[in-house]
Amino acid sequence: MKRSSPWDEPVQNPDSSSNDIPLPITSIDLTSQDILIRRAEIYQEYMKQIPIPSQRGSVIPFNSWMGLGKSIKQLYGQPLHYLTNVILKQWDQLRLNSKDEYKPLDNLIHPTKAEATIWLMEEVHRQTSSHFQIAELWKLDPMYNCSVDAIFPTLEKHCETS
Amino acid sequence: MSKLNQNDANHESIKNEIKKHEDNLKFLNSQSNRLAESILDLQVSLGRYHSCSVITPDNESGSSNTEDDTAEQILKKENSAAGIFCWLKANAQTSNLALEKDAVGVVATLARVESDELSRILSEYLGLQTMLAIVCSTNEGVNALEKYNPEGTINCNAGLHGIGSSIKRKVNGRFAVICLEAFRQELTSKPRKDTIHGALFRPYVGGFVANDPQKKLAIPKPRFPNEECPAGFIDYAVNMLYLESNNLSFVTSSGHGLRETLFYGLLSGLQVYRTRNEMMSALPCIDEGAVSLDGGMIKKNGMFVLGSRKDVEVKFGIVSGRSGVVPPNYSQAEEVVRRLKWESTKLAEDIQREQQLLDHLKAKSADKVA
Repeated sequence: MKRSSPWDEPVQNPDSSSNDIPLPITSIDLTSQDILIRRAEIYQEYMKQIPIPSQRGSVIPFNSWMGLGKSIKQLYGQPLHYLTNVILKQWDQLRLNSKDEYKPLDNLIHPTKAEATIWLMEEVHRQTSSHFQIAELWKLDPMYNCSVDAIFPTLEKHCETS
Repeated sequence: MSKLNQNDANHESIKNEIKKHEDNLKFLNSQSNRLAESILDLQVSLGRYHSCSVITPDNESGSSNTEDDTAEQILKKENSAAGIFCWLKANAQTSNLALEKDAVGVVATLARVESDELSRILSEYLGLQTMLAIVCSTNEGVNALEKYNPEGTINCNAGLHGIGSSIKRKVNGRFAVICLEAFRQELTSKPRKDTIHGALFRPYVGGFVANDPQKKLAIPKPRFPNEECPAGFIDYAVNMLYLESNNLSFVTSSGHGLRETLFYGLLSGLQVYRTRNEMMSALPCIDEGAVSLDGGMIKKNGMFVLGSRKDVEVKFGIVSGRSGVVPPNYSQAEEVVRRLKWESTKLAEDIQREQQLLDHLKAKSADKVA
């Protein structure tokens, strides 16, 4: 919706069409399929290396799936997979305008069950996803990096590469 | 296969893996360099227009407050965290990387407003502690500001306290720090009235005004049941803040700007009215607080703040009148810079991941040889 601004727009010189600032096309290059595939491969290989925590005694109260995801990331110091983050966001979106939208989520789903579900999803995504498919999804989602966590745990020495 | 052959095969395969990771790193670094060049080119082009624009000094009101005044006001508060922080920024030669890299700035310096009355009432609404709050991008920035001894007391030789003591200043009492990572985009169809676990601030979920270089938030105007807008309503406070281009270009790690994270978190749907009477007449439309330019104030929680107004020592600066010739795609170019800088951060994260994989592999192969 268009609203008037409280202050003046900058003065535009009618003859300045030739003075346009040249915009680079680098941003287009970054989303080229080859580059995306390569970056997705790097990402998937990295995520595959991170072991799913085996000792999980936590019970985390939560009011949204993304909130629970954030708490899990802080508690275990691990990133969650792009695909997991996307699903958590979708689950929160699915609640909009539902009858129980304002009920605390942990009243509806037990925190232990919720956390276990997230870890199961995470394991599936880390171990079985194809980087080609991830690249396809990234192509459709230019802001995909919003769902890529900038958390870098120490990789354990006993991890095997694929 | 004999054991020796098997070892050779493994060694060969690890060598190939290492080469693959090194190639990946070369690829990522070259992408990163190309991005950096594009950003620099654009910034140089944009910078040309900054120096062209003519700034007309505000001579009309004796109490006018430019951005420099705000910085001066903060520096005057010598024994405050914000004062020490601003001193640090001004004296770049003593740059402390961890602290400075992550910090965005002091709240009062991150925006300006159109008029002195608005500056006074908004600064008073937020309060001195919030106006002096230091804004950090991540929790690492927050942790860099203050460190603790094993017994739990503050370590005065580290963080901001350490810098303060090196310039003979001491941080007196408490100071606020806002971490932009706390602003998670939670999707709700309407604002929640109950407290949300873990969310310090409610982030903005909604659209932006189209084609607006200031990227103001598209919040529906308050209306009475007869569809009329309350008399005296000017705008939402969050949209009356003017962000400089460097602050406009700033994005959080999730790609959002300062207005919809920091300022919406602090001000939410605070409404601004011309007079107190008009504000009081519009009470049924006031959801998240309101202020009036003549001193009326209703807090977000519905509390009325009566009595004489008390100016806060640190206020938002006033926008100075500018006239300049800018090319038509100026704001588009600014948007591109914003986007490229964000992509550049994300690429750096990919580089970090790949480096970690390479180091891990090298360590593993060294173990095997040993």
